Amino acid sequence: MFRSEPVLDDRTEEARLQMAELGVGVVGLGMGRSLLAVNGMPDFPATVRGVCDLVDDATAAAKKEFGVEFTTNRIDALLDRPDIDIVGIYTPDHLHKDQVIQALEAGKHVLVTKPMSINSQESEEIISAVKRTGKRVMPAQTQRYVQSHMAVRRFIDQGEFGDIYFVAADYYQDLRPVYDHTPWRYQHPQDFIYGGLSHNIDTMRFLKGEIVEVGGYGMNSGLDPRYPEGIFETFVLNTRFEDGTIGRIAMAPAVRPPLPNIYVQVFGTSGTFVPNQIVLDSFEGKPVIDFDFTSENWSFAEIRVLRNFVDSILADKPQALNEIDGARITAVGDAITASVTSDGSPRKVRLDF
Amino acid sequence: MAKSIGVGVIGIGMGGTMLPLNLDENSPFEVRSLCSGTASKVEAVAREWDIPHWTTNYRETISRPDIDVIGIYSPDHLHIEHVTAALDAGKHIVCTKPMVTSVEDADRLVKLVDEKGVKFLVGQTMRFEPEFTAAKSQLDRGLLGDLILVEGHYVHDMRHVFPSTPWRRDVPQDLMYGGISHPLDIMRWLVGDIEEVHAYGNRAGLTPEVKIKANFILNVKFVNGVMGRVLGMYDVVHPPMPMMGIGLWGSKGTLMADYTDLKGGHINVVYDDIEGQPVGTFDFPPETLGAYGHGDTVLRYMAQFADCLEHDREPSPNVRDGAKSVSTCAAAAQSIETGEVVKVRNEF
Repeated sequence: MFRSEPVLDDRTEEARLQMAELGVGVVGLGMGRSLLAVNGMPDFPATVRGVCDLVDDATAAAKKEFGVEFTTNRIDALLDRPDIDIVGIYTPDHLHKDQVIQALEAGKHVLVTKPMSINSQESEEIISAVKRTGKRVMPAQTQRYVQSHMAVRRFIDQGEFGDIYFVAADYYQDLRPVYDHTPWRYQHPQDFIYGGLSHNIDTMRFLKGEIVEVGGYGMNSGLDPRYPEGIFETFVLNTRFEDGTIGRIAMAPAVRPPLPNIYVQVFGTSGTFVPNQIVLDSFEGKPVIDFDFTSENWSFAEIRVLRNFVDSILADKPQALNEIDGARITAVGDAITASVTSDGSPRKVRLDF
Repeated sequence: MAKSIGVGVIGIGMGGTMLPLNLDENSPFEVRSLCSGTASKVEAVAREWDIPHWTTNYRETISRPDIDVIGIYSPDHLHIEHVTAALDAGKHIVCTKPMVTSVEDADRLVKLVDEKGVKFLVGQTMRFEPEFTAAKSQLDRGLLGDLILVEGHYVHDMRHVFPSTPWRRDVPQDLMYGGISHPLDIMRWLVGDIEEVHAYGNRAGLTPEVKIKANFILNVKFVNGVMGRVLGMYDVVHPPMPMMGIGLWGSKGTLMADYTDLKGGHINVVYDDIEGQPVGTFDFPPETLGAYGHGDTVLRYMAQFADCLEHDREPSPNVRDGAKSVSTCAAAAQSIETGEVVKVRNEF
């Protein structure tokens, strides 16, 4: 169920069993709590051995419910542990860069929840820390590991949709309940161009490749007065890809629309996808084919991300996303910032990381 | 009701949707002349519907003294010629969308309509579809609160339409006008004038002989500050989504309305003040009268037009609405060429 990429396929079962299991440390047990479930999966090639959170109840629960041996509220104490190979950073966005670099310097591989960074300067610092330490960074872009999106990618890879000429990824999330349990988002506040749109951006990169140009409009919906005025959290954006493919992105933290949370569209010369239906041109009558995916929460995608990272490290192969991907996602965010805070005209995306 | 207002129809494909007016006892309209490019076709339709006059020369239709209203349903690029001729003859006009395909022509029409003092209705069917009028009613009654974001789409695999209207492929039809005017008009109706637009376009090449772009995405900013976007895909394997739709994100609720030719429509709505925020769904039954199933819609807009003629009211959408939709399409086309945001002309 948590097999992510066919990275393991060229290894024998015996070789796999001989592999050393990796130790994982998790920093931030809000979103990071998702990873703890791997401790209940006997054949998962990693175990969460340490957790770090400022809330003692959270670390105590990790110990009690998932058998995590080491708990702390100091990140350096976690990083000191020799039995931890991978550190998962699941803290507020503005803390990622320093914590990622700190973990790399401590000799750990780093899984970091999206966004890896909140500007290109931060990305540069992370990229040089990776070079310096020889350790890996993987941005945990979960949308690649949502069942529906994995299926779309499979249809694209199989050539079923032909040449793709339009891709869209919209993100609809009523943020009011999210603010209730993560007040840092309005207190700091979170910049949704990075913290929110990284979902849309990476979904489009996953399905089509690099976005080379982006532009559009942003506004503050005013729906929740806790989020500061004057900072945008609602967006409509047009994007362009190298080969002339066009795309679009929306984020609306409004009253929940009668639509999926992440709404993806892929139009190709021989087939089209919208959640969770496809039409293939080769079928006479163009029947709509429905896919009924088991409903999953986001934890499952988060665990698939970890699985890919662990498998890649063990097999000494590239992980699905690295620090360059993280930098490019952030660079799209920088281009969006430049566009929505000026006249809305499109901006080129920096790709040379 | 006495059949007191004579109607001449130019173009009997979509224009054929005017014919049921003759059977409608509540309508003052009577179709009395038909014009089409194909003599055998126009004669057959005229005989079937017992229409006293038919022709392949539109000037004959326009010049008849027993005709007060001209319905123009010819190919897009011919609208300007047919409308100006009908205006010169002092007729009231119903013109299918897009009103015209250039800002210059839109400007000419606005001035001519003003000068002649006649009534002019743009036949934008979306304004008269029940699911979209119900959506507007929800918005206008404040049930959705203040509008944050609006979107509209019209997607149509044109390969299925070319056989019955080959001019769309052969001229070809510029779907920036012929297609995008649908969602743009209804978004203007819901929100107001559009201040500026950014657009991208491309072609998929599914119909190799059509060389122009037929897939479009637009971001728009309205004069009142609301943001919006438009999707218009025509060189496309028809996606598993309704043909036409609007989305309204408001401070008190979110509403999606959709419509598909011959299949009916829906409204899906979430109200913030209903605990649990269930999705409320309204099903609108299919309408199947006339070309593309738009017959009932045409009867509805003709009822509005009758009211406008009788009580000297302004039709909706009128010639200025038509001009503003055309100028928004033109701005989007310019944006695709220049890559820049383009201001929309709203002074007509």
